[in-house]
Amino acid sequence: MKKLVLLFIYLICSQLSINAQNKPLTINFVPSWAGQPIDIPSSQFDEKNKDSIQIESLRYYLSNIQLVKKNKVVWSEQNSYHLIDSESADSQILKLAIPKKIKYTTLRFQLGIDSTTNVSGAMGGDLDPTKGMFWSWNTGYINFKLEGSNQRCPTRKNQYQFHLGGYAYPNASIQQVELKVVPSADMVVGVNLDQFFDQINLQEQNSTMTPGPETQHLIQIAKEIFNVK
Amino acid sequence: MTPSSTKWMICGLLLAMVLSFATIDIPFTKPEGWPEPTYDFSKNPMAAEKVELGRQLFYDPILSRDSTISCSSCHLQYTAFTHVDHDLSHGIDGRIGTRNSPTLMNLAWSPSFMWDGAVNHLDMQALAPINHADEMGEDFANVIHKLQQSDKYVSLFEQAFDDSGITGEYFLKALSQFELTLISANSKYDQVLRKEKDIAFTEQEAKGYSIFKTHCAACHQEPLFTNHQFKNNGLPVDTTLNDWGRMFVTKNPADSLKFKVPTLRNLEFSYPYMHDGRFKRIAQVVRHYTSGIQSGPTLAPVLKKPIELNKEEQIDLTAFLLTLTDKEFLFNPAHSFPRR
Ligand code: HEC
Ligand code: HEC
Repeated sequence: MKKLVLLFIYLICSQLSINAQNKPLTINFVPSWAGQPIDIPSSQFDEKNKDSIQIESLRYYLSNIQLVKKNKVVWSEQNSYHLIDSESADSQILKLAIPKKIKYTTLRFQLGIDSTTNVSGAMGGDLDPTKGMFWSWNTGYINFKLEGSNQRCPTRKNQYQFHLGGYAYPNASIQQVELKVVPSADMVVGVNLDQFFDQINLQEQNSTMTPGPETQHLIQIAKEIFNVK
Repeated sequence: MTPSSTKWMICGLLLAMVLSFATIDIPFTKPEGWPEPTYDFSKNPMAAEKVELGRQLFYDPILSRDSTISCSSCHLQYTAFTHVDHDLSHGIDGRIGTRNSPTLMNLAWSPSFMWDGAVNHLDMQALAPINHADEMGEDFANVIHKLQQSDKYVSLFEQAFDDSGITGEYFLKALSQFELTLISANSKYDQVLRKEKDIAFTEQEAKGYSIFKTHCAACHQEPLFTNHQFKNNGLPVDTTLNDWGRMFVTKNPADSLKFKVPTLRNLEFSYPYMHDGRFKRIAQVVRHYTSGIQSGPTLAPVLKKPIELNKEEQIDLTAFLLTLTDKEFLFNPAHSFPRR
């Protein structure tokens, strides 16, 4: 019995000392256009096509956040699944706690949800299917969702809808993003939407809702729009 | 009795008590001789309150947009939880879906769901009919919102998931638990195999069983009567529907016209048959396998050689298929509409 109590005290103390050695790290994901932060919904001028692009909503999953130095993972977040939603300012700011003495050069995360989680049944929190980021026909998480309109889209109400997902071979769409960073308590990651639209032709590419080669192509473009100044 | 054997007896009794309590709380029992289920119970441990909540949800039309349709509208207990007499399932506003609703039985052993396997987990299956405009026409987040306004469900969820709150995760897990209890394992066939007293196949049934093992069991594998694979069993495509089955999911032409091998348990009551409900009678199904197989690039190799059965053998086979009826399952009050 005494031993148990001691063990208990030891566990609490070690918990406390771990916490004492941690420091906060916040990462703010900021949607931007031509280098300027934007608030979604938003209307932006497209230089190349001389028209405006309406952005109604931007939502995506980040998972398995890691800090890396010399290709070695020095810290990784446990149970790391985050839905970043342009409609919720809170969701765009990740509040993490990392060891005080840690050194790192790279921020690494997955854009999307891994295949194991995709086949593990109902989950809660950011993974709850009420979040609207789960396909009910041909099941699986939507990794990246961007919606809005532009006059070049020959669709109903000129809408474009990119719902990018798919976890099973050969249509897996999860992407790894690596960003060189300078250690700091507050990081800002820009999400450059102009860069996404620059690389697609809205006249032809405007509705993607199922896993497949087009989705894979688009999510590879999406993975490049994350950057740190 | 020595003191140490008394000690062991007390230990044994205590253990037995603990075990018997444990089984009261776990409504899932694997029938004797069956394989291990594929459903991962560790992520959703069974509890009587969750099963009851799932049952209430299954029978409640609150899940549909205009509160007219529940899961049970298309999955009726007395027909092994399929939709009797409709080839294509009817949904909201009288719209017709494109597929026949399958039976719901022994789902804990299924690795994938729907005729084409488009759903990867039982928990996630319910999202499909709820979100589908032709079926229940409702938005999942809104269903959860409606339940949150209901005193009945607030208390049922609290009893089932004690950290309270109604979430999508809990909703789906409870519904799964009810569906997982839908186990049919007490047909005449099962009783014969378990060598129960005074139960035996008739001569006709026994002949039918051996025909079944020769021609059908490769796909309709015992004891579940499915191997859970996707196969083309030679049905000519219905050009009004153009349903290519598994290819919808994999986009691979080699999967064209392949559908999930369905269980044959309770076949007597689960008509009409096949993914589009094209056959109304078992005799038509048997005739399909003996003389209706349409050849094609994806036809299952085992069906390439014609199955030759004379009239009598066809009747024997049918007699065997009727031994798969499990009345206890079809009329089990624990699975029926909750009256209270
Ligand atoms: C309008 C009719 C309809 C309603 C309402 C309906 N279903 Fe279904 N169900 C179907 C059809 C049709 C399929 C097969 C769909 C397919 O293969 O694409 C199906 C398939 C299923 C399956 C897969 C079975 C298997 O073995 O693959 C399950 C489980 C299921 N339904 C449960 C439910 C639940 C739970 C509800 C209520 C939330 C529900 N259904 C509501 C018609 C319906
Ligand atoms: C190559 C695998 C295969 C073999 C062998 C096979 N089946 Fe099937 N069976 C299937 C598939 C696949 C389906 C579903 C087809 C569809 O709906 O498109 C099916 C459907 C059925 C159905 C309809 C069940 C329902 O609920 O709709 C019955 C009945 C049936 N088979 C009986 C038999 C009998 C009897 C035999 C032997 C003479 C047999 N099958 C041999 C693959 C097979």
